[in-house]
Amino acid sequence: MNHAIELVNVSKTFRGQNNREFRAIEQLNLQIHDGEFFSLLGPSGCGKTTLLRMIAGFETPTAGEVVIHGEAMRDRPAFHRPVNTVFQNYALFPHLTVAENVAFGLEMDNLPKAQIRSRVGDVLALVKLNGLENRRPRQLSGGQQQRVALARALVKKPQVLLFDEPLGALDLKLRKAMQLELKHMQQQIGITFVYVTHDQEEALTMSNRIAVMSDGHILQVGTPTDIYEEPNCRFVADFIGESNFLIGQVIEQSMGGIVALIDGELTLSVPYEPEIPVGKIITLVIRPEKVTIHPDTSGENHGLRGTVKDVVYIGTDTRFVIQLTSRSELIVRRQNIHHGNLDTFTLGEQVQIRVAPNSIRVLEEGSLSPDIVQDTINTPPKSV
Amino acid sequence: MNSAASPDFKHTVDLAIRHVGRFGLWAITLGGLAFLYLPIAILVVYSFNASRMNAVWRGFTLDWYRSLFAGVTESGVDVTNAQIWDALWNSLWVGGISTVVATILGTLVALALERFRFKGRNALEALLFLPIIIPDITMGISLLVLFSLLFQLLQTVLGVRLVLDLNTVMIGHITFNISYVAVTVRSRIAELDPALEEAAMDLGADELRTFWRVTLPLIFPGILSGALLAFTLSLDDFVITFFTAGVGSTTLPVFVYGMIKLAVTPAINAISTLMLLASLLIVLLSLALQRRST
Repeated sequence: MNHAIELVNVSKTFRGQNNREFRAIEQLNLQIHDGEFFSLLGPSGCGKTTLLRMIAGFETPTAGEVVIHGEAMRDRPAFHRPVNTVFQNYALFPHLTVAENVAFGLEMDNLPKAQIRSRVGDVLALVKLNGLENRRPRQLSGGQQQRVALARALVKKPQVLLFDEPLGALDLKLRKAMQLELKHMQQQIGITFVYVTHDQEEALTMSNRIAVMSDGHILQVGTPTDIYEEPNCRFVADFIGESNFLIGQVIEQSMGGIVALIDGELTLSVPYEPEIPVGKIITLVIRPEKVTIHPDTSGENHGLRGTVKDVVYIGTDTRFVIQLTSRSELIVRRQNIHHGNLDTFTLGEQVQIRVAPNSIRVLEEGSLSPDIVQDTINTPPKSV
Repeated sequence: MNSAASPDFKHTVDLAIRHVGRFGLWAITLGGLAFLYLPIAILVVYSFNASRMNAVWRGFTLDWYRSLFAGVTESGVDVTNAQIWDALWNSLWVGGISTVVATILGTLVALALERFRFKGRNALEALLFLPIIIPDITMGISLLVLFSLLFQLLQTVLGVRLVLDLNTVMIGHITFNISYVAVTVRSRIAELDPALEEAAMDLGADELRTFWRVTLPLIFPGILSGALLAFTLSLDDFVITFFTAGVGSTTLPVFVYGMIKLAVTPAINAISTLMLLASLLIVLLSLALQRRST
């Protein structure tokens, strides 16, 4: 596989006031493939922007190496790197017109005037800004400014285009439109996009692959489906979409599955291949939309039961909060696919809950509070 | 108790207070403006006074202006035009050179302070404000002491004899102007988004081209106001010039002071009015330039 960007053991430490050190990035390794739309996703302060700035050449790694298309960038200043950046607040030159802004990079390459003019015209057509050549950035709307910033970076025909939360300042509708437009543009021109965002939905919408970051580390790298369906830790499960977390203890493993005891009250059987010792504390991740609730009509003994604690109507969905055990609640989302034709549930009603066992993700992490451990020992589990 | 009348009464009082308030606002505004500009207005009006004495109005005349340009005085006070024009020329020369030098040095200082972290940065920052804060008289005397020590040293060591002249005035003006320029330019650099310079480098501009194509055009309004401030301060300065000027290197303010010692004539009013006009033009010019460049 051809790597557009490789980060090898990269660390970055900032020295703040009073010589206090702050580790923004620690021992980070990452490969970004040629031609992919790659997102760096994480909460603010996780180091994603620092990472991008090291690729662009605005920051020097304290240790490790940034490699772009096989070339080590150690001593290459930003102006000699084959990448261009679309900045967070666009950073358009206020004293230059739209056309002059876009032409800036080509002038720095000392291209002939005629060639600059034709390339500027082409790229402005690509981002649909023809006719605004002589405007100043100040005279443009946020969306238009965003396009100028994109055009200014694209016109240099870089091998890699870097984006630092470029859509953050746009309103929701425009942002959604720009997301799709960027994605299509990336597919059309085929260069590598490295995209920094804290918006998980944005990352899921656009990316081929996503790296989820926290505290200067990459927690998981994968396709949007990987990251959403098979989060490898509680942070990722929590940060991407909505999750229910049930803390439990393994009480049995057999035939590619485990039985977990939740809060000492409830047992759940879930498929799980890896070896895991009995007694190990685990976290079960259940996405709210993968759970269905039904009226508790049958007197059947199998299946999960809980009581309705809260019902919230939010237009597209209705959210139910179900008290599952004395300690754990489960949030359930039901799409409102019919109007007035769905079962209604009242507060305090006992309901049946169904969830496909393979929709439950097992994480080998988590801890029980001491009193739960106590409970587990003292009270025999109720059989399900 | 008449409960029905009381809201009406309250309303009337409210209205009255509002009227007084509105009048008061006007009165205070006009009073403030008068306080600021009445002396200047009087000065301008009396520069057209036919009387020799400032206090009495004897009718309109342009004699005082004419005398400045022709050296003719009916009043008998000798205001030779050559002296005035020499002083004015000295002022413009000192102002021009000290402005150019102080603007270049002050801008460099501002860039260094805003852009680089170096040892002694905080100390330099504090020192920068000193020429602005300390009294002119202290500055004038210390420069005088410095120059005389330096001249003595030069004479004993190298045998070169130097005296106070227009050059020493110029050095004095550069000294205080650097601070004013640096402070003005710095505030402009502080407002500059560092991402703009990063964007330039990202697009392939090295440090030098980034400076010429992005940094300098964007901080230019700050440099221009710094330069105009420096020029005005230099034209205005009396105290420091007084201490650092030698014989025959009189600037306009020092010359006017010399005239007052003889007699306060409307000729001084005429010179002052012309200086006022010049300052006004400079300020208007700088405002116009700034509006165009932002």
